[in-house]
Amino acid sequence: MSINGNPVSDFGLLDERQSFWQKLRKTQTAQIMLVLVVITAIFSLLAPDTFFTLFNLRNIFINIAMFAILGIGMTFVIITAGIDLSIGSMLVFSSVIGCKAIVASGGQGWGSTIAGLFACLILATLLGAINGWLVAVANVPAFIVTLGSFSTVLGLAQITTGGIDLSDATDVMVDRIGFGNVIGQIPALGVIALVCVIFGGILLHKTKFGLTTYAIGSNIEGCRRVGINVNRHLVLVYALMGLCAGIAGFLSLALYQQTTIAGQSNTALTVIAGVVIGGTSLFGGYGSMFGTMIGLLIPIVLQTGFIIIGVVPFWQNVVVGVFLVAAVYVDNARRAAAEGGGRSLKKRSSKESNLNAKGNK
Amino acid sequence: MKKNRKLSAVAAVSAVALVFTGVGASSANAAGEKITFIQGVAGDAFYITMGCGIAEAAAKAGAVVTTQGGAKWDATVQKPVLDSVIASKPQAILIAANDKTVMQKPIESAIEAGINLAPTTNSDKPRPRFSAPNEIKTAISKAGTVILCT
Repeated sequence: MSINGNPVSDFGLLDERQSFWQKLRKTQTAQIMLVLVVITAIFSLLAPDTFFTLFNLRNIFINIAMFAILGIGMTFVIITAGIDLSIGSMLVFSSVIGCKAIVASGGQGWGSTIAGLFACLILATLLGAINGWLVAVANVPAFIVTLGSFSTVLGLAQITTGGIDLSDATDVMVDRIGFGNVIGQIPALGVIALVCVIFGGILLHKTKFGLTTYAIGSNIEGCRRVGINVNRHLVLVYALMGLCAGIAGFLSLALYQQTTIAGQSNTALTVIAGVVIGGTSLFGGYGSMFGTMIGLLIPIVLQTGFIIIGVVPFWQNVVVGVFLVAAVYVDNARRAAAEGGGRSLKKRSSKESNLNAKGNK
Repeated sequence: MKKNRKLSAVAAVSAVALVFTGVGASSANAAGEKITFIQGVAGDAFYITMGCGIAEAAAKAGAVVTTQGGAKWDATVQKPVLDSVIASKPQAILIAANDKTVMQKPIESAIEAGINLAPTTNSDKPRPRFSAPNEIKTAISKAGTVILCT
């Protein structure tokens, strides 16, 4: 698929005329990657025996798994200039329904595990599609739709369980997925997340679906006028977000061995912060899967690093907050520079001339 | 492009500065036996009180306590905290586990990492949990023990 000359090609990673490294260097991802490397180096120097160890790297790999999977869907949603605050609740409700399906099918083997998996995926995808329909067709702002479903879906999970966590994860899923290794010390959970992220990255950067996602984020009205079925695509994007929440719900059940009804209330904000730190614009049309993963890694590396060197836990909040604002500031400054002032000047001058025209009247 | 580099340099330097400020605040644990207390939730008066008791008992046993905890009473938040504490290889870990099901395997992984288990609570005989320096002394002598305060 040739996309030269496409308006989206301005946004770095999609431009096929540049080499991969040229594209990467220009992005915020490269800068944020540098920050991650610096942080890792500092902690490795401060705690040489404990930070850069197999045990700790393995933990980081496991603890990022669910956030990474949620980050896939969130990157798509934010690139369309949307937002999804309901992922924590979708995760919890899908793991509740997963538990119910496991109990209904009985047994502790792969059969009921797969039943549980499908229950998680189908439910969360449907919930995501409902979010998408409300955003695209009913025209309710995404913030409100997902704030509403955050509360509604969590409520449904509480009604289903009476507010008490279910712990019906099968033995296989706990032993083989939650705490299992693929080869040697490589955790299954991390590998599943990595595979999902690679699929997500290909879907975003190499397919028509991904290109349409960028296009809608850049110029939704333009997309409508050239005949793209914007509503259908938005429903699909939010359904994809739901699917990711469903996978995360299943993995959460495997890792924690029970539903986490009281937990996950901050999950959406953690994931959104990671996506934004990774260089995806809240205004849509710009972002990358790789950036999201780096953005999600930073808070996790900071947390484990602070704990290992013995810093009071509150410092993580301070640093992540600073990073979030700094990332958006750098992103805005970089984009203004990349556009060479040409575009923004043009925009400004057309606005000014409009103002002048009005003033003249 | 030049401006960008400057910006990212500023971001990196401020990150470094923040990290070092943090280190200054916690350099106390350089001496003595190192034990870590994982609170049920950070910033809660109950666990701060518990932490005072632990610090007092630890001081008598010649140990220094580092306190860690999740920002919420949430086992999904506490698990990564415990993982990192295990990675930091303290002589002993004292943990107020948020949830017995969720924290079961992570605590088992501490035991698998060569750490022993010593529950301190006794359901039919309630007692002040961390007024006993001997308890902590024993924990330290076992070269890494998890004490569960549930």
